[in-house]
Amino acid sequence: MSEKLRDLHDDVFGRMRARGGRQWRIAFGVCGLFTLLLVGSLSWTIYKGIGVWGTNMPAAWAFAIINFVWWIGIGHAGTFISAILYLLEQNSWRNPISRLTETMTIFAVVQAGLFPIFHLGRPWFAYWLFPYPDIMGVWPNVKSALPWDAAAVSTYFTVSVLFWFTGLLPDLASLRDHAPTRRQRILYGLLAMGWRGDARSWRHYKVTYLMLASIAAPLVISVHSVVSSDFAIGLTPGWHTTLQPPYFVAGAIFSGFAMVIVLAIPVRFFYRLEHVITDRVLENCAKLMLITGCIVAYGYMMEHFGAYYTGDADERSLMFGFHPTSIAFWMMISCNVLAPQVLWLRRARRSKVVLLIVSLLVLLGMWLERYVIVVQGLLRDQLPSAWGNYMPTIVDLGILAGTLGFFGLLFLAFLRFMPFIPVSELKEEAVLE
Amino acid sequence: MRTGIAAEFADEATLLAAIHRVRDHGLTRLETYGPVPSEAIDLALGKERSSLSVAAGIGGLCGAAGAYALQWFLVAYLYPIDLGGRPPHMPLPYLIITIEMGFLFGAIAVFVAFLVACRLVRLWDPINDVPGFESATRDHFWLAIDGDDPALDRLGDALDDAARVAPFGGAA
Repeated sequence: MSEKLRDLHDDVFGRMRARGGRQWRIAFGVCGLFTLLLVGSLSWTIYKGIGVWGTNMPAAWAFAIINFVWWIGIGHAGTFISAILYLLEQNSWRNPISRLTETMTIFAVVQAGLFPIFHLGRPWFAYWLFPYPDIMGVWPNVKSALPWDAAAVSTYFTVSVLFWFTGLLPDLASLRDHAPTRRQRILYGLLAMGWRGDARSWRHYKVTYLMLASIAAPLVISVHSVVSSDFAIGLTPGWHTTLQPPYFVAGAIFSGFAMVIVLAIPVRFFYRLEHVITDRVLENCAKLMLITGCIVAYGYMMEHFGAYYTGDADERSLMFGFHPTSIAFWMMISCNVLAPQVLWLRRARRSKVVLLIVSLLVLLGMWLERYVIVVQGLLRDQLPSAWGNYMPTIVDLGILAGTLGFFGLLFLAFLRFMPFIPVSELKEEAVLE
Repeated sequence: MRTGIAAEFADEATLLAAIHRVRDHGLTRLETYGPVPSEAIDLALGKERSSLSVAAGIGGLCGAAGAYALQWFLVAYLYPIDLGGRPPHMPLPYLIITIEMGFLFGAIAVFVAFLVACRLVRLWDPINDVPGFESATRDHFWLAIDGDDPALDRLGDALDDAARVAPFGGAA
């Protein structure tokens, strides 16, 4: 047993410690450039005000909310894998990717959080969302969806970070104890907070991890439900429906699994971890992507059925008429409903190229879905005199591209410096076998 | 400063046998170190399941109750807004933040309790100075017997299976 643990330890840590080399530096540089673009775009937004965005009446919600919902949705698969699959004891295929996906969650929520804060127009007053005693005597109105969002997203972020950090402790301690240089020993030593693997700590660790997983699991459902209620409690056509919460949650997990596949395939290739992040892991992710994709397709159907069945003229014309967003709608159907159907075939699920293409299409499709939901109803609401059009500006596009770069930058830095495979969990699994 | 004797074992089974022998000799102040959690070790040491879940429950309930009370205080009492004649005290919209805060404070409470219970953020311990102790986070298991154990002189041959035995914290 001891040899098994040692081989596992040396193999996985050795591969993780492998220097990214040129490819890593090039990727980091590109992401760094896009991060600069993000900094530039956001600075310009602060300097001029959000008039530099395309967001304007009637599309008072546009890119900022689309990107917010898209990014936060991506995070959901991370929590689904690390918490729900842990509670369901799917450790054999959950463990190899749980750390990667938790990290993805945290960094995706970081991107998501930028949007509502800058959409406020005066981001330096973002703390007004939280109840604090001030001289004006004004308090947030908790009957509005905005404080719900603030509570849901900040809870989700905090719990995800605690869960992630607790899981990291044993691996950080391993890095500390086997660090080649004194500087690394000090750095990982501080991060590991003195974890020594004593029986007492392990006992408390197991229960703490279980409790955090139990708390994170309902958050997977609650966060996107709350986000969907931003829409559902409004009267705008296409928003005002009880379908929204489950539809949003399924879509979130759907896009999240797509992102997991997009990240896991290059990671296992460049770090030569094919024997850890096995084909079976990717295949199971693909299966879950297919299932959630079918739920999303059902959501599209029910959305249209609801509009037909209620007989509401505005809802009907929105769902069945031709609009400025109709092209986006049909692209969305192709990416989210048609493309994943290829995953019914075992050969497609086993092919990395097909998986990557389908996942990228799903990510695009889910972005388009949010675009259609947010913009369509606003452009065609109940008053034809208030109809209008929407076009994003170059600053909008710069911010979207910038968040992709910033996400990549954080993720690459994590790959380089932190244990991105939970070796201690793999060891535990190996011992149990 | 904490003193004692540390013994290294190549695998869990030898460690378990050693724990049983040591306990048979009447020693009680034991701690083990290893790369994986193990119920068998907890059982051998006579330890019960951790009760930290209570902290999550208490933290969660306090967070939820506090959030509901705070919302009532703000919206129904301190700054009531008349929105289309709806009553200021409305449980349904309050519930969302109540539930979220329940989760948030439950998670924070269990994490803080975890740090306290494991006595973490103690970066160094005398046992860290035992040569080779870093194998505890890699592949080997260690047994530490506290120097203050009243039955220490009855240790005898209990640690003979160990790959290595060393005192720590200045103990002879």
